[in-house]
Amino acid sequence: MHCCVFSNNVPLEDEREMKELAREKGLLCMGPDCGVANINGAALVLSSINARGPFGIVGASGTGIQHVAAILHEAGSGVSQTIGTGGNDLKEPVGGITMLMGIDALEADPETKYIILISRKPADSVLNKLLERIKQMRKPRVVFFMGCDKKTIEDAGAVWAGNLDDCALRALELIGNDYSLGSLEDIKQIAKKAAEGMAPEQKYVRGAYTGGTYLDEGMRTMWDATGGIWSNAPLKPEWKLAEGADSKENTAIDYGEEEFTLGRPHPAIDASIRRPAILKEAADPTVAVIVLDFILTPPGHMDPCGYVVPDIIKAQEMAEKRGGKIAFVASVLGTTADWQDIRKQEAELEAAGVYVCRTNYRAALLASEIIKLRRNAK
Amino acid sequence: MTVPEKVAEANKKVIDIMTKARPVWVDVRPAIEVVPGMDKDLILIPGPPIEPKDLPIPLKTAVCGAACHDGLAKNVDEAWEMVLAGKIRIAPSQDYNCGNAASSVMSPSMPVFVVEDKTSGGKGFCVPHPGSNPRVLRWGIYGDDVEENLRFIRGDYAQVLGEAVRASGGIDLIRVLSRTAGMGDENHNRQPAASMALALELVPRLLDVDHPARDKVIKEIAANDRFFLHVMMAGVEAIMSSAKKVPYSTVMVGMGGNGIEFGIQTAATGNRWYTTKAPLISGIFLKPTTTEKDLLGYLGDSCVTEVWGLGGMSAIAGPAYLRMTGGTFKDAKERTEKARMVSLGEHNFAPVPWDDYRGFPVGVDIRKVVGLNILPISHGGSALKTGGQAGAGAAELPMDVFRKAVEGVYEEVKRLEVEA
Amino acid sequence: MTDVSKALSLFRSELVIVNVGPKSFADVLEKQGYRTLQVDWKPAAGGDKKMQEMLEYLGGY
Repeated sequence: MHCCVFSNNVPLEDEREMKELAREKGLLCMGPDCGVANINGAALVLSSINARGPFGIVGASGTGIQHVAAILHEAGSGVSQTIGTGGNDLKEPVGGITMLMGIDALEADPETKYIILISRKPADSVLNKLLERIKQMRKPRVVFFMGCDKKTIEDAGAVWAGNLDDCALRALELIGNDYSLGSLEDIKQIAKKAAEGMAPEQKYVRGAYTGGTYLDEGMRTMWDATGGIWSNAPLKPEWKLAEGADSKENTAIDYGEEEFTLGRPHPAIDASIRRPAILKEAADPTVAVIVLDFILTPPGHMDPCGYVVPDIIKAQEMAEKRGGKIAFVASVLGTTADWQDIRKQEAELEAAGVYVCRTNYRAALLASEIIKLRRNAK
Repeated sequence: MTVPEKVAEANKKVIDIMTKARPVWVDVRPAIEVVPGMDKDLILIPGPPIEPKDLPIPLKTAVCGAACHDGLAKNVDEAWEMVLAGKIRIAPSQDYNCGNAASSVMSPSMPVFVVEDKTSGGKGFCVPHPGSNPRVLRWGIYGDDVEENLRFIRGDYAQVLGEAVRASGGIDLIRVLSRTAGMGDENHNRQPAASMALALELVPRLLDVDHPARDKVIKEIAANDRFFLHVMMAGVEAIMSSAKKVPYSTVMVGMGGNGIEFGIQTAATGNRWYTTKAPLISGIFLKPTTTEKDLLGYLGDSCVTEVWGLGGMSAIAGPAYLRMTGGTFKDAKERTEKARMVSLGEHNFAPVPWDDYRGFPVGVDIRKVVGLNILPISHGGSALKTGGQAGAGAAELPMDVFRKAVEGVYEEVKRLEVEA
Repeated sequence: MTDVSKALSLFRSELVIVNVGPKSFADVLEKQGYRTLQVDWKPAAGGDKKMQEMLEYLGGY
């Protein structure tokens, strides 16, 4: 039996043992810590429901896989299989066993015409092993290993992608689909409108994320515009927010971290975990922008956006009473096939005055542009 | 022997004590005469230890009422002052091989059922069940009428009943329970069959007693379908008094609540209590105006019957109780299945026809509860914060006490190993 | 290259999912039209390492 293991905090040696046993038996061991896998069209664990298509994905980031698959779906294409490896597969002690097996399987699968690989930057020894394997692949492939330079990837015969959005767009190019997520100019226009009417002290951004991948992407994107972001999972250790401490200046919080989820389900399933963040952040008069992500998945909340709309409206009223307004910026990860329906979710947010962006990256770009305008405002 | 081997052997010993027990009801005597450690200033209360000032209202009422009944104080106010000052002491019944159901308490002069386990030699004690009158000490109510009934029980009732029981040469509770096979009782919160089977043994002997109050006593007993419960509680305490002497065993041998805290005991650590906030009994209320806010936490020692495999443990034997308290037949089956998954033994005296003639699971292993993350469900009556019965139902036992018990037994076993 | 014949046969056959753990995951797969088998399982001692060690010392469960 092939396995998809959602549990996390499994010691790396145990993970290696599990995966070696699976390899010996010729079985896929997706995870531990595998949040997304889409096998034969079934949305396992926290996947979205995706259209079937020619792209096979192997990824160590569940959100990453889901993100790319959702854009493929939106662009009219789809996935053959998506194989989640778990977040630790490409670490030294595990050695990328599942990603290598996943590549082998998708290379041999006649339904898979193109292969997409997604991960944070693998450990050096694992990266070398992977690059060797990528070099020998026969099918066209797009690789997004966060922080890996273009040349390294291209030397292995793969298409390089700079971020998750780019990864999906590069893949679509392989099938001649010139799908676009919109330009930076569009975002700048929206930012201007969003930044108008704020009170002079409103200068900061607050991010309330439901998972690490989007938090990371958000913070990287907003770093330069903000000059640094405090977090419970910061990009740099000196920006670490003390546990349980209130947000200050520019802050982004991952509500999927253990301090919030110990003994509770993931915030994608239990929407109440992040809910208090909205009113808490909005109570601070220096806040200009609040960034939110939403993830759609069958076991998740059936109306995650509608669930927080009353709080967003209340927050906006609080800001107005202070003579300002808050720019709510959000993105929804999911598809039109998801039971929650991404169009319906987006419409609910838009009706509440939220600036809904196509992707998390673009939401962070919009937040950055607004902050730039606010920092320069007199 | 390794520690796991010692634990396995000790557990087998405890399960043998529980499943081969032969509890026999031999006498009715004043507590002060028969309960080891009982003293004239001591009142035994249900559940784990508690500071007098923390006693919930029903127990406070019962303790003070019992103190007046025993002449320890002139009135309840004086009794309460004495309790607070430590001049009247309170202690957990189960530490004295006694059980006190609901808000019952045991004062030195009260008559107690004496049950002896003929296999292990242990003795256990419990006051008589006071009948279906809602105004009783057992539900935390005291007044002139209650006092009058307590005096009847201490006097004529105890004399007549004691004489009959002694004349019988002892009534074998296993024989009584065996007769109830297939009669639909779980024997903690529902026991008409066992009460009737017990009456079969008792009434002929009672009729032989020459006493002016004889007929009144017979009427009391024959009309009380819960009479068996308190006899059985004394029986369970007799068995557990032996089980508590088995070091290394991880089997649960005691449990109870005082309305504020709930606790369990294990064989390895005897009378040491592992406690947490008392859970609420969920089920039905006697009055439609009662709400959950009116409920006191788990109260009473009658759940010692559960320790011995009755009640929620053998819910499948008494599905009618579930129906009455808002459950289903399937729930009954699930409760017993859960109990089986965390138990080490099975009784053979009253196999359940609609459960493949399987016996009641008995002997909860605290390791299994914590390891498998499966909580046994206990049946129970619920009490009002202000006194009186609220209703009846069931409660999942709190995981916290089992985790504390594992830690306690672990430390005790370590200590024994170091000594050896 | 590892042997991928079993993975390929997985991709070609009707999916049957054995769900070990919270039943909600199986329920939503059923609703998507897949066959599931539910296995009720919880991690030992709720995943508490200290408890697991003490249980181990006492002979397991």
